Amino acid sequence: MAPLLEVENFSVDYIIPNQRVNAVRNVSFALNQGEVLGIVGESGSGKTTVAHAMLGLVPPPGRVVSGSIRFDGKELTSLSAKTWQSMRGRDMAMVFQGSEQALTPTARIGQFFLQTFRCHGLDGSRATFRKRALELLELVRISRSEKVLDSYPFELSGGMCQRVMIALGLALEPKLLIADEPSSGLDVVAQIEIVDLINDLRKEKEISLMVISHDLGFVARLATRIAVMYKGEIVEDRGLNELLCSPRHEYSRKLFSASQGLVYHKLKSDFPDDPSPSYLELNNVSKKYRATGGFFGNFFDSQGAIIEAVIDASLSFKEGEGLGIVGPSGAGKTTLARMISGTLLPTSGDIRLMGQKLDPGDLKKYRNLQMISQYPAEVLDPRLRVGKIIGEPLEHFNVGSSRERNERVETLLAQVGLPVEYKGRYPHQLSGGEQQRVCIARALALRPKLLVCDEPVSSLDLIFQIQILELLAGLQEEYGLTLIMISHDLRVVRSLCERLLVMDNGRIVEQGLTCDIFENPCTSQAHALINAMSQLQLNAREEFH
Amino acid sequence: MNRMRENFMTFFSLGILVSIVLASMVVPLFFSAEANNPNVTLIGQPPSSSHLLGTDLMGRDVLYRVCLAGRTTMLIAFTAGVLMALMGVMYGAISAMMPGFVDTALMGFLNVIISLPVIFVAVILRSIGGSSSVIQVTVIVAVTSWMFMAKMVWDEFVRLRGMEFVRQSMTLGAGRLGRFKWHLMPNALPTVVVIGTLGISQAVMLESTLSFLGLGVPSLIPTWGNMLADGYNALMMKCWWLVVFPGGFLVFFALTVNLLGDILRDILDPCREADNGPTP
Repeated sequence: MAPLLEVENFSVDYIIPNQRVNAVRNVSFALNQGEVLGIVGESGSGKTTVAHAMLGLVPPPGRVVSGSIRFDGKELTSLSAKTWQSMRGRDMAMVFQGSEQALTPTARIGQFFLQTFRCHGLDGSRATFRKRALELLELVRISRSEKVLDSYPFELSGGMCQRVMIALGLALEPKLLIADEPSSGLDVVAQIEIVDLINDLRKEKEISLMVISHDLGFVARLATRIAVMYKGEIVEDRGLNELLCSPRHEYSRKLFSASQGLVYHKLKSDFPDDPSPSYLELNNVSKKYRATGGFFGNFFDSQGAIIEAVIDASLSFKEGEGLGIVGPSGAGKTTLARMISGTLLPTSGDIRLMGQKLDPGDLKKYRNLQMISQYPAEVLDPRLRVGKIIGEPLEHFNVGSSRERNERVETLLAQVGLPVEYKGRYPHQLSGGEQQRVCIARALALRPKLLVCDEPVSSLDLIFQIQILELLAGLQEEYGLTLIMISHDLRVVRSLCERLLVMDNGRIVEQGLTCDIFENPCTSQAHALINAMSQLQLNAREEFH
Repeated sequence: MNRMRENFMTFFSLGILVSIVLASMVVPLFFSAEANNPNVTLIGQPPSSSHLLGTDLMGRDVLYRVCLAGRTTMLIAFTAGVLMALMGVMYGAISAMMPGFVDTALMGFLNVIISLPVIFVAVILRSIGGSSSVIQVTVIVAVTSWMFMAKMVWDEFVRLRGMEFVRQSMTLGAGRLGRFKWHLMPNALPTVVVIGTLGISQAVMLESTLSFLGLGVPSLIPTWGNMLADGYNALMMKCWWLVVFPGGFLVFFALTVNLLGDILRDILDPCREADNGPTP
């Protein structure tokens, strides 16, 4: 039987004035009916471009320069825009990266389904379409589907949006479903749920699937064959078990070792019964938000519903320790971090740093406390050059002369492993990993004692993740830096923190030494997180499927 | 391809703007001041070799007057533009950086003055009198148009102050002034430039509107606005050159200043370099 999708010598160039970038070079692969192909590679390796090309959606200035795509025996590269449009959704569908952004915020979920059906000229009344949409939502295991159908995308969580996107993709029963980074932006527990969902759907519907991700551990749970992309080329295309047993290309080996996670070098606390006073202390800290109920809510219901983001958080830990705060998204981790770093005022309770109460108005006290954020691209001012960015805190605190500041910036760049020439670059000229290094350099500029890292690696490729974690581990050892690591992913926290704190729905549900919690998790939340971690972590000797 | 077209537009608009400015500076030097005196023997002559752009109904040379008018009009427009930008930026920035009572009060007051009809304000200000008519018109133009700059700057600042990099700068020790200097103002600058250049072209328009209503600069000191107003009356006598030339100067000036604003905004944007390499 001929394969469902056959791509041969396919190349895409990005054509810009004075330059031509080969985004995809001579890519060939085939996908059989019912097969799952995983495409892994770092960001910028061209994997998303390949996925978009399968739907005829190569974004300008990209241009298909050669090659052929045969789908179900039909050549696709020569199709007109109109034919493409009728094929998308019906024969092949795509689940886009960042599902929350891919759904128009002003439309209700039901309208997306309606639009999909109508665009493909399906006959039927609103009621029948609605019934079909409800069935689809139930297929992707959304309970309360009636309510979801009438919600706006921003009212749903990231995992829910992802499910809705999958349901939309399946709406017209396509033969091929392409999922572009379906795990990005989701916490690990939700990732595992999506993996299970996709696996079940595949068995039930017998559709072919193309999964794109930078996370080999995630793809390994879904795919039977894996193509590794590197700099626009497919460097390896083999069965999953073969690839994992003996990765041939150097990049595949790097990916594989990154998926195995960091070496655990900190499982036991160095100071179990140290009598020294605690470094940071939180007593019954709470944060409440007032939600306003829409346009009329503002007039009639001035009180609004109260959302408790953090409820009665109490914790304390000592200098030089690493504290991991883990939990699913929406657990209140970031709110807690913001309160600790002083950008958010707690509604009640107090925060003490070395016995002194923190006062958000007093900047001097916050000098020892710096923060690293989840999205490096957003915390770097797009109009400042890297040198200026790293030097910013030095200037605010009037540290040294301008020459000394300049030298300090250069040493900081060296510390985080960036060349000195990067001083003159703008943030958008750097990769995500490099941007995060700049953030770390800036946070270290004032020689802080405490570093609060809010999901420091979750927006980065797996290989960069490992690099950043190694960098943080090195700094922790070298300077005795006290770390607070916030993450939804235990893979990130485990190697750097000896203390662990599990949060759920604004409450701290479990806390203790990391090794104790790993050996003997008491709550279901801790269980779920550990389970997700072991699923996404690759093990060399493990057999798949 | 796009880049080529942009370059052409830049060249084209800059060229026109520079020639308008140069003409206004240089051309009047070749005339004696008598060319602005009424001359009964030269009334309403169409363009000819001795009077390249013709003469008006009082026998004055149109070329001389159009260029002389350029000096006044551009002076009014640029001064009013700068005044408007300064007032707007200060008002908007102060309001946005002091959330709470100050912000509510300032923005409330702004909404009130935005609601006042421009012509109404102009009539009142003009009737107060005092200084020379050119200064008065400049002040009227600035006073009636700075509110839009203030609104835009306020909007931009409020958007920016919620951005992660501004929040983060607080943890890096930036106070109010630090945030303003480092992040808010540089990032709001493109908006200020665009609205500012729009304000300059709007000022030219408003100046001619005022002249039309007899509230502008008297025709003894020529401006494009009052020449147009005079020319309108002359249209009955089919003296098209009295409308087309000052009107043309006005339109091309406004157009090129607006294009220049767009170009400046692009130049100020460091991310534009990203065109040199894709980020797929």
